[in-house]
Amino acid sequence: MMTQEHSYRVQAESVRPMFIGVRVKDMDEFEVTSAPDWWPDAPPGYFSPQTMFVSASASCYALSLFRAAKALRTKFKHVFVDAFAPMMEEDGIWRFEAIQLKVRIVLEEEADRAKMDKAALMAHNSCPINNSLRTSSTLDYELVVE
Amino acid sequence: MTEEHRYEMDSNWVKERIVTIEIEGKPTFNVATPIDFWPDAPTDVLSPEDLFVASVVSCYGVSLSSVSKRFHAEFTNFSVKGVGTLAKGEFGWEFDQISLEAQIVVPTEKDKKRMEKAADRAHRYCLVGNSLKCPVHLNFDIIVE
Repeated sequence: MMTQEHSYRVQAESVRPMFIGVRVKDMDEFEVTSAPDWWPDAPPGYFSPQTMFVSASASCYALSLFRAAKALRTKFKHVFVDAFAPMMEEDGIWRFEAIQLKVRIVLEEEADRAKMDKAALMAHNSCPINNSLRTSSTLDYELVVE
Repeated sequence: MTEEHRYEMDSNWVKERIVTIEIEGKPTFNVATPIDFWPDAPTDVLSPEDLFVASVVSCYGVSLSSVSKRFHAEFTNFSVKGVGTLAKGEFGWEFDQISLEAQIVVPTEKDKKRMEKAADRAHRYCLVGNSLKCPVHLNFDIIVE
């Protein structure tokens, strides 16, 4: 049984290459970056376990997009992720039913669209957090040129 | 499994349903049960892997503080260490396991017996742990002081 009462929403947005700003309602924005074992140059409030869990999913997708774009030798200007995760109860045990990632990727030029389309999917498939979820993680993305 | 992709952190109880997350080289921050489960809940650069493991570690901690009340098991303090490792899965990197080591201090032998059940129940009902594909292994040690 899914309920809206125990659903957690987190937003993640790129602030500069390899740095993602994460926003949770009523909290100061905080930045997330890759772990130093993935990015050797990486530098060294109350969050709930649920918001941190969803934050992990949203920020991981955005960071995976940087890696995917690099692998496909393409680029983008900006990414915004809106993550929504309802919970469900089954036999008295609560868990996340789904994590829904709604993504907006801004491109500098139309020539980048074809490769970024592949990169958007590659990022979702390669994201270690989303690959670790029991629940389904759905991706809904749009590419816009600005 | 490779040692190269291993994320480690500690969590200590603060008060009520609030615990810390402590990662070497990063600012310590607090985690609390969200307001929809706890009406009185209060409102540097971390990686998604840090946050992911931190969410499992802190979820166990807040589950334990809640469940212990239902079992009338008193505790003086507790701390939880969590380690999560990545391995290559079918679609790429994924966590292949998370291990939790909890140390719980109780005032009496009666609390110890009750806490053994609470510690186990908290693991079973941990909602973040139940949302993962990989196993979460828990070892706990209850000390009477």
